Amino acid sequence: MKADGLLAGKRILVTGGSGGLGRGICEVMAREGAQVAFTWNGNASNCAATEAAVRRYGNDCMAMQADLCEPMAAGRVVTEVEQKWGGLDVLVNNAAISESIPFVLIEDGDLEDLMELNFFAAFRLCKAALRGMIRQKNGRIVNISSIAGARTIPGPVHYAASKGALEGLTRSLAHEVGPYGILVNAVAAGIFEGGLRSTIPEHHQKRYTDACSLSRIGQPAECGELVAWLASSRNTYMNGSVLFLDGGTLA
Amino acid sequence: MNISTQPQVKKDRDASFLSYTRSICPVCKRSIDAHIVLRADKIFMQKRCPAHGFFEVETSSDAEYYINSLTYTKPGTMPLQFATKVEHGCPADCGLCEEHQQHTCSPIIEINDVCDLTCPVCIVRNQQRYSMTFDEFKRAVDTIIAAEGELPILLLSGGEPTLHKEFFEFCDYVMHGPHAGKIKRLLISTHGRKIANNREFAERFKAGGMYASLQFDSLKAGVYPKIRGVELIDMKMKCIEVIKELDIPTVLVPTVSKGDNSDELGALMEFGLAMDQVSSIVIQPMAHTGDGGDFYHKSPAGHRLTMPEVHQLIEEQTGWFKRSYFHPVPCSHPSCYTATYLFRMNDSRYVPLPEFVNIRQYLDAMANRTLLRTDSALEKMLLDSITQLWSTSKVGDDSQVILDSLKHFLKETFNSRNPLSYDEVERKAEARCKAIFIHAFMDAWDLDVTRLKKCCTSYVLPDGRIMPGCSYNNLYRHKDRRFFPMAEPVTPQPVPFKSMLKAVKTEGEGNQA
Repeated sequence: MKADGLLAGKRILVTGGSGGLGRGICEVMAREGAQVAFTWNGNASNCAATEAAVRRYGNDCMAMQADLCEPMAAGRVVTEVEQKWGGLDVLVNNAAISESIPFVLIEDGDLEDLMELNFFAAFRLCKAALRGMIRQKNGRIVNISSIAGARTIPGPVHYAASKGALEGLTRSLAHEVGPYGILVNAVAAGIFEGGLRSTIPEHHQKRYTDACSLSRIGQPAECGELVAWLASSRNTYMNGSVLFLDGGTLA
Repeated sequence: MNISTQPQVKKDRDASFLSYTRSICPVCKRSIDAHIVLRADKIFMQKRCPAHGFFEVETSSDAEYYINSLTYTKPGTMPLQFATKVEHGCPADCGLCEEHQQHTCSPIIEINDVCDLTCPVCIVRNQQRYSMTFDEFKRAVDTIIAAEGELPILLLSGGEPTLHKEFFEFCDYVMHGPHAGKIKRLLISTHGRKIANNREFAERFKAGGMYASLQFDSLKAGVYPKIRGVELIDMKMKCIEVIKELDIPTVLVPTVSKGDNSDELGALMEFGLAMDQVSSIVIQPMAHTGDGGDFYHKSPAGHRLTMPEVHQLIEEQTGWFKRSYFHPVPCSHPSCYTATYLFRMNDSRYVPLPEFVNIRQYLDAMANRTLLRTDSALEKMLLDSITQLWSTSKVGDDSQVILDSLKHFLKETFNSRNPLSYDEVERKAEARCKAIFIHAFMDAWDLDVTRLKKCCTSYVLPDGRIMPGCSYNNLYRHKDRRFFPMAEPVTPQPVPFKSMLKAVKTEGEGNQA
C-alpha cells in the first residue's frame, strides 16, 4: 500500500465498480493508497477483475454484490463498510444505466427503472454515508454525471434527466453539508472506454471524437485521476461543482 | 393511259424511341449503338451490328415502372483514385476510368477459377487452372482500399473460393492485416459444400468472422440438376443446418432462371426471412454470360426475368409482399439493383421499411451504398418515423405494433445492462431488419453502357484495375491472361461511323432474337 499516496488511509466506497469506468476509478484510488470497497451486480468476472486490480496495490478490498435499485441496499452496503473499516471517508456514486430509446417511446416504467439506479440509489447512498461523515465532520462525495446532464446533445431523455437530477442533488447537498467538512462534487463525464459507451451508436461516438480537442474517447483511469483528487484532502475548496471531463469536447 | 398511283403513306414506327445508348453485338461483341424503345407498355433494347444484323431484347416488362425508376438517382461518389484514362470511350476503357459515375461499394476478388461444379448457369469461365498468389491477393486488396478507403463489404469469389489452398490466409489478411477494420464484412461466395461436409472448415469459417454468400436456388429436388448440373438439395439443406448450428452469418443468393425456379421466389424469400443467420437475400435473375450461361437457352434474348417481373412474381407467390415495396437502389443504375428492407415485428410478421418511413429519407439512407448503415441519416429517418407513427397511432393498431417492436429492438441493442460490441449490434440489426436485393447482371444481349457507367459491383484485378462486373464478364474475362494465358489482350475497336452507315439495314432483318 502506498503510504504517501493522495488517498492514503482513506476508506472509499465506489458503486458500479465492476464496470469499465468504475474499475478505472477503483484502480486509481487503490494506487493512491485507499482501501476500496465497491459494489457490483451481474458480472462476476468483471468484479473479480476489479478486485484483482485493487489488490495489486496491496490494499484491502471489499467487493459487495448489491442491487442498488432495492431501497434497503444503500444502507446495507454503507453499514458493511463502516463496520469492517470503522467508517467511510469517500463515496463515489458511479453506478448507472442507460438505454438508447427516443422520448416518445419512453414510458413510466422505463423512466422509473432508470431513475431508480441513476438517481434514487445515489440519493439513498448519500443519505446513508452522510450519517457517519457528519459525525466525523469530514467526508467527500463524488457523483459521476454525464455531459448529457447539462448540455443539449443526442442522448436518451430519461438518462439526461437522471443526470440533471444528480447534478441538482450535488449542488444543493454541497451547500447543506459543506459546513460539516463534507465536499460534494460531480464529474460530468464524456464518452469513456467501457462504461455506457455501448449504448451510444457508433456515428455519435465519431461525432464526439471529431469534436474532441484530443480526438479520442477517454480512458477510465483518466476519470479516476480527477475523482481521486476531488475525494482527497487536497481538495479543500471545491464544493458543489460539476466538472466537465470530456477532453475539451463541450468545454 | 390510266395510271393508278397509290399515294405514298408515311408509317409510324412500332415503338416510341426513349433514349440512345451503346451496347455490344451478342455475336462478335463489338461495340454498337443501341436504342431504348417503348412498345406495348414494355421496354426494349434495339441494336444493329454491321456484321450480324438487328437484335431486340426486352429489358423491362413494365414501362411505367422503368420510366419512374429513372428518377431514382443521386450524384455518384467518386473513388479516391481512378486506374485508367478515357481514351476510347465506354466500355473500352474499363478499370475504373475517370468518366465512371460511381465508386465501388461491392467489390469482388476472384481468387481462383477452380470449381468442383460445372453449373449450367455459371456466369464465369472456369479453366480449372488459376489460383491467385498471396502477393496478387494483397495487391488486389491494397488496390481496392487505395480506391475506396473503407468498404462495407468485400466478396471473395471464384471458381469456388473455399477450394483455394490459402483461403483462410487470404481471409486473415482482410480481417487482421494492414487494412483491418476498413472492410466491414468479408463475404465468401460459395456453393456451400465445404461448410456442409467439413466440420473443421465450417468452425474455422465461423471463427474467422466471414459471411457465407451462399448460392441457394431451390428448396426442392429436381431443380439443381437443371441449373447447377447435379442434384444438390440434400447438401444445401445440410449446409443450412450447419449455418444455423454454428450461427454463421449468411447472405442467401438464389440465381433465378425463368421457368426453372422462378416459381420459388416467394418460398425462397420466406425461407431466408425465417432464419436469424440470414442478413439479406440477393436474388439474381440469370444472365446469359460465361461458359454456362452462354449456352443455357437456345433463345437467350427471350429467356430472361426483368426487374418488374421478379417484383410481380414475389408479390404473387407470397401473398403479402407488395411489388411497391421494392425501390431502385440509388447508388447504382435503377435497372441493376432494387431493394427493400423488412423489419421483423414482435409478433414475427415483417413490415417493409418503406411502409412506415419517409421514402425520401429512405432513399437518402440507401444512396451510394449497398447496405444501410447506422449513421445520422438512418437515425434521423427512424426517429422521424417513430415520432410520426407515435403521433398518429392508436392503441391496438399496426402502428402500435411497429412502435413496440422498434422499442423492443432498441432496448435489447443499445442497453448498458447488456452491453454489445459494434459487431454484435450489427448482427442483431441484421437478424431483425433484413434486406432483399434483386441484382440484375447484364449479358451481351442487354448490355447497356448507361448502366455500366454507374456500376458499383466491380471485379478487383491484381494489375490494379477495378472492372465493372458486367463489363468484365462480357468483354474482358475471356481475354484475362490469368485464366487464358494465350489470349490476346483486349484491344479497343470503336466502330467507325462510316462503316456503321453503310451497314444500316431495315429493322427486322438480321438475327432477330
